[in-house]
Amino acid sequence: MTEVNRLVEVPDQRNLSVLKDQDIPHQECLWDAFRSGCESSFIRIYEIYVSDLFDYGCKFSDDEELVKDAIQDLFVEIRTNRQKLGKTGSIKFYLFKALRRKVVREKNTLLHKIIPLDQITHFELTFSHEQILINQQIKEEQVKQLNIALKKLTTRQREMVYYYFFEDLSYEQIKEIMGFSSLKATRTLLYRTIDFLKSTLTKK
Amino acid sequence: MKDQVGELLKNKEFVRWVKKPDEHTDRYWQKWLDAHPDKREDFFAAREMVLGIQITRNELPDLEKEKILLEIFRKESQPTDKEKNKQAYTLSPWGNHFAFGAKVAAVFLLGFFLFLGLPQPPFSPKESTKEEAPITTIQKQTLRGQKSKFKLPDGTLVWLNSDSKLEFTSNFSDSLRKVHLIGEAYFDVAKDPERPFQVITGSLSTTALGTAFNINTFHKDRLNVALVHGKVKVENKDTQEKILLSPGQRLQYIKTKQKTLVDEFEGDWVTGWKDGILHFKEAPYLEVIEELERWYGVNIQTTGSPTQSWNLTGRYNNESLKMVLDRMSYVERFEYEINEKKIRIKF
Repeated sequence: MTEVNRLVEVPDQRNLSVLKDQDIPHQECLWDAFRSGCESSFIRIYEIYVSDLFDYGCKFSDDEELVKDAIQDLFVEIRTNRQKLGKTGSIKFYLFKALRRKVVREKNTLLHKIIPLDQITHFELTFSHEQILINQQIKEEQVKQLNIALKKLTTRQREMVYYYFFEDLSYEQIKEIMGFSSLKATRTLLYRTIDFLKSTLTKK
Repeated sequence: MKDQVGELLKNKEFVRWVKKPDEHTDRYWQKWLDAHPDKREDFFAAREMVLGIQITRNELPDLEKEKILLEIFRKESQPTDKEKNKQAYTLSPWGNHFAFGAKVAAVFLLGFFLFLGLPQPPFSPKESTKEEAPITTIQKQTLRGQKSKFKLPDGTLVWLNSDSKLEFTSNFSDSLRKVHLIGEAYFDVAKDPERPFQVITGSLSTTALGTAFNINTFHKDRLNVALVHGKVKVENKDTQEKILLSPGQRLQYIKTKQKTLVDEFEGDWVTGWKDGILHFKEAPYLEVIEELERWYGVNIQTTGSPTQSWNLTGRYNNESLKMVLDRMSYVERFEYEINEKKIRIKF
């Protein structure tokens, strides 16, 4: 057996727990069926995405009830307006974008003021080995450095790491959801973030 | 040192592979590793990095999920119909739940009837007995990008791949169940020792009792019969050959050479298509393009030509065309553009 195969055989549950969008077969069809009135498709969409949406919503608000209400409103809206909805190649991205807008808007009305988004997100990142490997490359001291580095990231950088490493969003989608001016700007910030994290490995 | 770690982390394909490896990408990255022995340490460090970064997750209990869904259904009915609304409110959440279950069942049933309704022959008068019932020829056809699954009059299950056609009669005869196939189909044959089941494809006739097998006539020059379980006999009119296949064996008939080969196939390489798994095994460019056109019902135009000869091996489990092209274009280095049903590939 090859080395790569042997390594990937170890299941890493935590990383797989987030359902990836590409795992949903025929999602264009599912979306189209829902738009044309199929109730079972609506329920299926709800069941597939509600966990991820809740987790995502909580990244923008401490108030779980507010997040639940926003999810409820979002699904009521798309269900009522299903005929007016457009096509989508990624249901998750569509729902994520809509929920983010809702949660942030809700929160601002509740507090009667507009808080810059940068100050209110909860993308808490840490580093720890998933499993102990033979010939581990990242040593204990570097793990410490990495954790310090992750704490130093700006909230925007952390949000980006979440989309890139956990939600498998494309640059285009990250650009859109975070409101970057260009793909280039998106890439630049992500590259800078990666280079910064990577630099901890070279430190002695 | 460690200069490759950053490069790998910036490579979306690498990250995707670490998070969600499969046969195809495993092979690619194994090759990459073999080609860059000096970058081994970086490679594994980058992999550890992707796996090691953790984020706290907020879980929503199942009960809460149910509750929100019920609220969604309740809320939606409010503004539309006030009368109904009153009733809905007197119902317990469970009553509401049942109502919504009934709706779903109705949708399923409708789909079921539509599906059954289409291939049926015109109504025959109720009083007609079995002997008098007219025997009509039924054709089941799938377009490119479509697949279907249906039952034959004897209970045999058929999965019909894209761009394929199956012809059979509304009543099989007492001695033989005979169907004609163009394209590809998987048969799970209903047991009936009295009446063998026969599939005619060009010069080949494949005969089975209770058994499951796959037949493919997509290649202009090749006919394929693959047996999953049971036993089949393949007879060839052209060569007068008669061959018995065992489970796991595939017969290939090369028409121009009038040559018959029997080899073995593994797992779902031959039959995965019926579960939405698209496979390529050391496939050349043209074969890949033809298969994608058929699978997704699209037209593919190519500008330029592949720099090296293609030998694509890959497994795509229920993936969108975009995902498949993303992964291919990364390995085979091309650009592509999707415009509705028209695809442009640029080398």
